[in-house]
Amino acid sequence: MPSRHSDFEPESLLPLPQAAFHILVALAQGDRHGYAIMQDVAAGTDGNLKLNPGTLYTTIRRLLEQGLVIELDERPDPEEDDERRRYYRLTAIGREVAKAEAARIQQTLAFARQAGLVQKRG
Amino acid sequence: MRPDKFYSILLRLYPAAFRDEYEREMRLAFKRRYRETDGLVKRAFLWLAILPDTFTTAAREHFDMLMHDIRYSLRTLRKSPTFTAAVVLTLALGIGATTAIFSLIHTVLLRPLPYIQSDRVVRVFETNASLNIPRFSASALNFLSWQEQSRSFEGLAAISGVAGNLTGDGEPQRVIADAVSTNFWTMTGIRLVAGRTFTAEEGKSGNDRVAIMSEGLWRQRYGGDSGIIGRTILLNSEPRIVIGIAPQDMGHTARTDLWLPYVINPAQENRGNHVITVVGRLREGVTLAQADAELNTVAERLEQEFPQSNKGWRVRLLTVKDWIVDADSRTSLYVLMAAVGLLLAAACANIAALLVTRATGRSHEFGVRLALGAGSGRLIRQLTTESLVLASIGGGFGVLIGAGAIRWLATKVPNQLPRSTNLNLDWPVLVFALVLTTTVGILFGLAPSWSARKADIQTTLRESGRSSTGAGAMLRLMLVGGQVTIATVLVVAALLLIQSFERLQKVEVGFEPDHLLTVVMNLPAAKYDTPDKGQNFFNTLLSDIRALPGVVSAGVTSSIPMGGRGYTGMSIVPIQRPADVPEQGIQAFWRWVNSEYLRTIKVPLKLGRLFDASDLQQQAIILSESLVRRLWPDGSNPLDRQVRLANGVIYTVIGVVGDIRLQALTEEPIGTMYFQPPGGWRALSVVIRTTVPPENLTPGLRDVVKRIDPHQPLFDVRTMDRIMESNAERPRVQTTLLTAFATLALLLGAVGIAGVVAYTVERRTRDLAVRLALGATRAQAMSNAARGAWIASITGLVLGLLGAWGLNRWLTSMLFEVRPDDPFTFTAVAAALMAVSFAACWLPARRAARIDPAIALKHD
Repeated sequence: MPSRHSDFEPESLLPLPQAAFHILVALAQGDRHGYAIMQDVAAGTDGNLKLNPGTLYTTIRRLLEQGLVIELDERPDPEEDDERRRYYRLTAIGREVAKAEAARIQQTLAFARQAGLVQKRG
Repeated sequence: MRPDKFYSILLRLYPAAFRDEYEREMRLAFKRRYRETDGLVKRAFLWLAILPDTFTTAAREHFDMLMHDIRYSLRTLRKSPTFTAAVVLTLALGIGATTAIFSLIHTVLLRPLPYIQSDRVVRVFETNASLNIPRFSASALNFLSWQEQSRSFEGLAAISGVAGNLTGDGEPQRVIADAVSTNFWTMTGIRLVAGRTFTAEEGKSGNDRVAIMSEGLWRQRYGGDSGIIGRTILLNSEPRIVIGIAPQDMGHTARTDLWLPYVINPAQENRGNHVITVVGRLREGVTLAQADAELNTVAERLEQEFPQSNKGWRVRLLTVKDWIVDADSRTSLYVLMAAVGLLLAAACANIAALLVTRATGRSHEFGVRLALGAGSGRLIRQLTTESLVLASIGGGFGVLIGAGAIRWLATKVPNQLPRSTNLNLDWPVLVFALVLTTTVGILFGLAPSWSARKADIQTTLRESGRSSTGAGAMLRLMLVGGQVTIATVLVVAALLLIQSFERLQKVEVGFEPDHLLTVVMNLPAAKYDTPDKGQNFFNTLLSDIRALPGVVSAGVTSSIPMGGRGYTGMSIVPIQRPADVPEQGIQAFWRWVNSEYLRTIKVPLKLGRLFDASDLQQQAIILSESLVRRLWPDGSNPLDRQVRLANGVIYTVIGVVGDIRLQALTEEPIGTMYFQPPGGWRALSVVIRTTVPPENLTPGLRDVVKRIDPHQPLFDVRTMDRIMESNAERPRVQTTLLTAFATLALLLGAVGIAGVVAYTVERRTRDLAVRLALGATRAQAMSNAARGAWIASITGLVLGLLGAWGLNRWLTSMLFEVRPDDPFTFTAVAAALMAVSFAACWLPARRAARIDPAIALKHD
């Protein structure tokens, strides 16, 4: 598992799968349970990316295995008092990887912009 | 169904371990997502998104887990290299051997024949109970009558062998040609590689100067040049136009080089001359038995019409499948398959025992993993993957071993087994190996899984695999017993075959086969069109050969002993017929020989004299001993008596010689008559006795023939020793294979026994130490450690002997002068296996005697 290595390079995991990156971004804003991540991602992409439960949880499992996120103790869902939910938190390494991925995307975007493929914001 | 209920069912697609972890969360997520989606259309879209997502992510999850398990397995296997090597080697041998034998079974028995609806294609034999002839070729005139009178067949076709020399373009070459009725191709449904088949018109005399070439000859002699069609070739000095290319494998033969139209000229045929092969296609809905009955009524009619030639002659139908692959070949293949199956079972038992041992040794690891929350299902999945990984590695090496074995077999069997000329590792065999590997992997994965299933955290952690009692130990003893059973069965079979083979090697053939060189000469009729021309050729040839250095003598015969062809029988009857000789005479082999032949092969003269040159005009005949006994059962002197042969010629007996085995080593000689060629000196075999190694003479022989007729190919130059050897090839291969299987099984059995004893000693060191401390002797400790394995071996041995006794009757047809229940063999095997079992128990049990109670108990 990469997280255990001291000389871990975030770039070795790039490019991240789309779902994984979005989950990391959602968790960068604070601890979340699975459904909240789905909602955040949907909101952050203007509803363009709706993660399905299968993709969401298999990706989370992989992120856990890679040490990019950790699982917190279960807490009651604030919206549904009676349900206990699992919460996830971004690790320091997870943050590094997310940053590296964001930088990579930015670079790609800059290249596309040079070619006039990206509209400048007004 | 409620949507969340349906979703729960969908979730079962995920691996159990994943489900345990995330099922609740996923259902909650789905429920909320569903609740927030309103309207039928939107919900439909939701399903359209969720279904594929579930399928793909579940598959990926399984794949990831598999990869994880494989990596984990490889890591753990690397940690125990001895164990891994033992399993892989055992399995590779088992799977390799099984794959090789299966390729034989597939090529000979399972591969479909190239005929359309081959179950309707039959071979028609003639049979004559009163002459004691169970199956015989048909006569051409009978064939024509059947065609006319029988209603059961869509078509009947005749095949007649023709020996031929191909000349004109390049080196003269001896070819095997078959003349077939023009309807042969439509009747069998065999498709040509190129060109066309014969027209009905080409079956008539004068229009028949066409030929269909086999793919093999086409590629070998003409480099696969498609321009061959339409070209003229010279066969036996007669021109023929090539009209098509036939596949090499024609089902009943793969050796024929040229196919010609078969022209029957009824005026020149003799109804009593049985020389052609007849095949037919049954009409739709007609059974073999119906056709057999109907054709037999035709045969009865013909008997009344032609009593002279057809007395007692009936027909017998056989499906082509049963004709092409005879019962003996079938049995031999089944025996090999059974033997190799047993070997594989023994290999699996050995591996299962190793895996159980390992699982017991790893119960601590399992306990820890269970304690850490892995479900037992997850553990079983891991163990099964590990077995499959082992099986795949073993199977991979097994296929390599199998490929090597198949190549070896391909050099050995084609002359011994029908349909085996193109033996190779083709895809059905590979699929078989794959299925076998997977099945074996899953099967022997069950054994350790069974132990793991029962693993519970408390006991496994506490005992950390120290006990030797319980299911694992019992299972191991049963596996060892099973291995000994299998080894016993195989060793008995191998020992029987070895003895049979030894007797075969010692068979008296009736002449002196060493220092003999043989060659077949076949002169084309067009060039050697008078008897004198042929005779001159052979006379010059023989005198030139005799002039070669190292040659003692040389003779000619119509066919050499054990040469694999020339089943030529004819009835013979004394002119003054004794009472017990039937009116039709006695069937015996006949051989044309010249005056030198019998001296050259050194047949012992029993009475009278051998031929000399002057006998040619005198209709002199020499008979073999057993034939004399059958012709004159009263023991009267046969010399100077007259006999009449089925061809009507009367001969005078001038000598009696010893019997020769003409057809096979295993055959009891039925008697032979020798007379000089009545004129047609065209197709004869030359036999040369040498003082030098006979193969050294081949170049000289070639020069001699080239000098006399440069267009005459030399065909089949073989030493008699080589011919005898190839006659014993099939039993040799069978014996070699079975001995190899038996040796391996015995080795596996011994290793299995030793393994279980060593394991018992190791696991029960403490227990044994206590016994020793309490005053047990070393011998008692040893016997205590070995008792279980010894009892298991003896039980296995007894079962194995019983099994061998029950199964070995299948060997009867493979055995020569050895009974399948030979008491000596059984006693020897019982003694040998007891000795092996004892040694396998004793060697590791010595460690029990060396236990020092003080150290063993303190250590704890």
